[in-house]
Amino acid sequence: MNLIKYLFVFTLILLATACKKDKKLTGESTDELANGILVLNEGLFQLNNASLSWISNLNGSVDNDFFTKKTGRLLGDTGNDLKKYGGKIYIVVNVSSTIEVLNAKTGESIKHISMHNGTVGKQPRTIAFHQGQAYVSCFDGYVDVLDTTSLEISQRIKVGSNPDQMAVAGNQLFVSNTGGLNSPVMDSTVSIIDLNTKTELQKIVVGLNPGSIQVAENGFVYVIARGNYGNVPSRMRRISTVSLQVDKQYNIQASSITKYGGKLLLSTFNYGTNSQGVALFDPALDSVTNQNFIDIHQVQTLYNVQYDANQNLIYVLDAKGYTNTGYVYIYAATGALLNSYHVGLNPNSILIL
Amino acid sequence: MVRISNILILFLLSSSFYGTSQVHTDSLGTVEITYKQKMTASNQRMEKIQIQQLQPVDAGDLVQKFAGVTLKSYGGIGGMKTISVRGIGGSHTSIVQDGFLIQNTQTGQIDLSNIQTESIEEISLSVGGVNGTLLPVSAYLSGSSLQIQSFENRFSNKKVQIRSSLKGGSFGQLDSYLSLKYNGNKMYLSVFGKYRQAEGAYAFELQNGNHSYVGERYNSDLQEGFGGLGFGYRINSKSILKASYLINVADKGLPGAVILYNPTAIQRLKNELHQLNVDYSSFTSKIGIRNYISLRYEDLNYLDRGYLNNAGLLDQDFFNASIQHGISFQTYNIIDTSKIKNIDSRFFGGAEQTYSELHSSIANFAAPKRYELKAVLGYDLNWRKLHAVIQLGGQAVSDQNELAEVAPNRYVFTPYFILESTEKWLFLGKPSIWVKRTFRVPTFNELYYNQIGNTQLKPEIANQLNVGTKYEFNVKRSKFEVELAAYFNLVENKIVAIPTKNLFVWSMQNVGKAQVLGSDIQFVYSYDLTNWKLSAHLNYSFQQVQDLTDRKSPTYGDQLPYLPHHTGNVSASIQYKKMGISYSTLLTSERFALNENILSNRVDGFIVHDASLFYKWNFKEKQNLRLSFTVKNFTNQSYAFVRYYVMPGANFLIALNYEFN
Repeated sequence: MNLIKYLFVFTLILLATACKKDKKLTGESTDELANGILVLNEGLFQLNNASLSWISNLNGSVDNDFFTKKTGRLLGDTGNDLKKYGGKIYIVVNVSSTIEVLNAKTGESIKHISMHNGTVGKQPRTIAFHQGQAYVSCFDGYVDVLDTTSLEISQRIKVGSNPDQMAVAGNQLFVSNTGGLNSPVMDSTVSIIDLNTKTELQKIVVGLNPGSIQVAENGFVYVIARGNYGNVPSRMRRISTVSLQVDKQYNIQASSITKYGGKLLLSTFNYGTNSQGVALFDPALDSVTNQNFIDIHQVQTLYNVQYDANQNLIYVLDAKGYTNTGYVYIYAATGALLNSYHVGLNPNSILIL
Repeated sequence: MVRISNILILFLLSSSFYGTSQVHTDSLGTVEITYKQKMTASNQRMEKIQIQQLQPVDAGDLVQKFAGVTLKSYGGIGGMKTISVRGIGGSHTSIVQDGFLIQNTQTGQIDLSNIQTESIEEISLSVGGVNGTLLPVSAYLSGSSLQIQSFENRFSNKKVQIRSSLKGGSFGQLDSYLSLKYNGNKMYLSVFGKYRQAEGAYAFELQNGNHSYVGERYNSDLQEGFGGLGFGYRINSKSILKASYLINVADKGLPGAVILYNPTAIQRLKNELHQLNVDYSSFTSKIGIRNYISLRYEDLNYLDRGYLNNAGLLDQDFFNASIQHGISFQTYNIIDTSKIKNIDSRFFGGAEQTYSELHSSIANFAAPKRYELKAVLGYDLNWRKLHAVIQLGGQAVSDQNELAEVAPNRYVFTPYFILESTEKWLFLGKPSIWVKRTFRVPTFNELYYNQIGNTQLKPEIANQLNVGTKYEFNVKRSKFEVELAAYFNLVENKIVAIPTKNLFVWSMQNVGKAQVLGSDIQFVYSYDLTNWKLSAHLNYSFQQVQDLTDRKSPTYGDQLPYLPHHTGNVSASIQYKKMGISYSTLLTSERFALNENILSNRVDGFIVHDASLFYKWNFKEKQNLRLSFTVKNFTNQSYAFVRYYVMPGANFLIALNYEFN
């Protein structure tokens, strides 16, 4: 009978190990959001693991559980955009269909906005601001208007299919209609919204699968038609805000555009060689002036590039193959790597605070 | 000569024809014969009496009770269930029902929730060598094999047999099954039908930071029908014809993962499955040959009315059809036993061809077609206390499709060898050692599914090495059985999905390498007294399944996702006269949802307890009625096999079974 006894004890040990809980979801976090970098980690679909990381410039510490420590709950599924406007921080959570509004000083929650149309999630993607109003592109084909004071949705503006990235130029909002969910027949248009009347003025054809879109200091809007990741390559196009037409096509294969002072940084990716880089584009010369502006050889998966004009620093976000936790690399404008921080899963945007 | 034929027929009558491996004694008229087939190591089985005590919803509930198995269940009734045996992907496990392979070339894995358990008389899982004779060639070549023997497809000497059940339980579960079998002098004819439905929705509670997140997992309704016909005919003393037809039609909601703050779930899945099997076996005093043919057709329809495209819905159909034909043979003792004593040796083997194709309603679909050729040849030797098998297998695969790119032809060779003791070797028990190299070819989805598929994929290889031993001893009326196994597996060219071009364009790659170090411990206890029957079954598995893909990766050496280090099962039952109580528990330690073994990827371990009370009436030895009341997850544990696919809390099931023999 000794054997039974041993097995019994063995089972008890097993039960004990299986039940062990060492989760620590709450704890102390920074009181004031200052002198640091807030990072939105997108997470992965259906894992509810979007998160915020807080990098303190004072001691270089990284807190990858910032949102939960501040709010006592999880951020949700697929964090898509992070922006600051006035005294508030806005986080657009795509699959959870929510917008989290935080106090930009304390990081505490001001409002949790549910973005649903009846029972169906609107799947918000990105957010842009203009004169006290926030504009939220929603994958169900609308741009929602959110009042930044009342934090209520006042109206919905119908655009093309699966709108994603947006850029404000004067009194106009340019919205990339990806049509990604109609693959392989994706959308090819950019919707132009008049921000005074809050209606769509027109749609212009820019090329298959429009994505990243930016307004340069020269007043032109630059957009990337990402193609189909197959036989139609990604290409950059220029839209004139006067004629509201594509007036220039470039033979540049890029995945995203970042404003860099009066110039643009283009994240490039060559599907043939799997090589990636960050190129410098000069709108005045209308060409790429430096193909490898910064050395990103240590970056495994270039996910986004952001520039902070105040500090004159470039931030490169590395998604590490999309399934491992990522990194934020900080570069001087000279291209020299200054620092790196290990953050959460799929970091896609940052705020310098 | 006549006597030999009779023996063969008797062995066909016995349940050991397909899949099992026990000593069977059957009688026909006045002749009583024992056919002894050697039990190979690493084989586990469960019989009807144990199945009834567990009251499973589907075959997945049964298989998770076997040592070394990790189940992945997406929850609810009708939710998908797949398995991994000894840390190796589920496509390395073949599933054989009544001697015919159940396969799906689209996904490579069989959803165990589509296999109903009412008909199952016996289910066994063998790792390494397969038990049984004249099996489909595919079964010999797989890493492990799950074998199911149904009531509907076996000979019996009872004239008329009935099996039926009626069940009702939580979540609006209703389940009815009726099976009739007529057994003639030389034949049997069976027909069965089963219908089940469930409203399915269940409340859940999970942790969201410091708060509890309460919700309902809805859109998990299910309506499902099964049906089948079986026929067997002994043409003469040397040959047997068998045929069977199975149909399964289901319409179910997909509750999906729990998405925080967004409870919408409106996706639906419909499937229609037909399988027709025919086999013809003939025997001489020297050889038994089985010719088998199997046709399978499956239509899968996926509907999402909440999809945010222009049409406002996603409606996709997949049609997977296959035809398999093969010949298996087994010789009988090829050495004249009058000259060398205590020796019994035989050859076995076969060849099998399979053609399969996949069509879809989606645009630009590759519509692949596949021709596979498999062959196996083995030699089985019993000499004194030793049993040895040496087996060589090979497979050739050739694909075609309607788009330009096609996977190159692939050829693979796979050996297997076992040496074991059939009798006790002092304190070593009955030791055994075996090695097996197996492979699985990439599935249609992996090769051709739009942008995800990669036509250059090579077959995934699994190498297994197992050392084990077994002890059996009786103390008075108690019987003990202990089986220990330690194993080392190496998976090469592991097929994994990785995002390549961007987060939305994943691609299948042959980049993985995984190493499994594991051990299984099984303990069986039974006690028999006139009025009392006690039994206990306990197993525990330890599995270290490490990612050895890339030395520079942060996940090098980490445990692979969804494979727990520890799994265990305890089941016990006490029966007094006509009533009894049984208890069973499933234990799974923590797992990780992604490759990185970090806190944020952690999925909690769990222990789920089930208990069942039953009462059995016997009428005139011919009929019996069994009433049972089962409470599953009676501690109301909140748990999930897959992160955010929350499983139901405490739920009950009342079942009434009636049998006529």
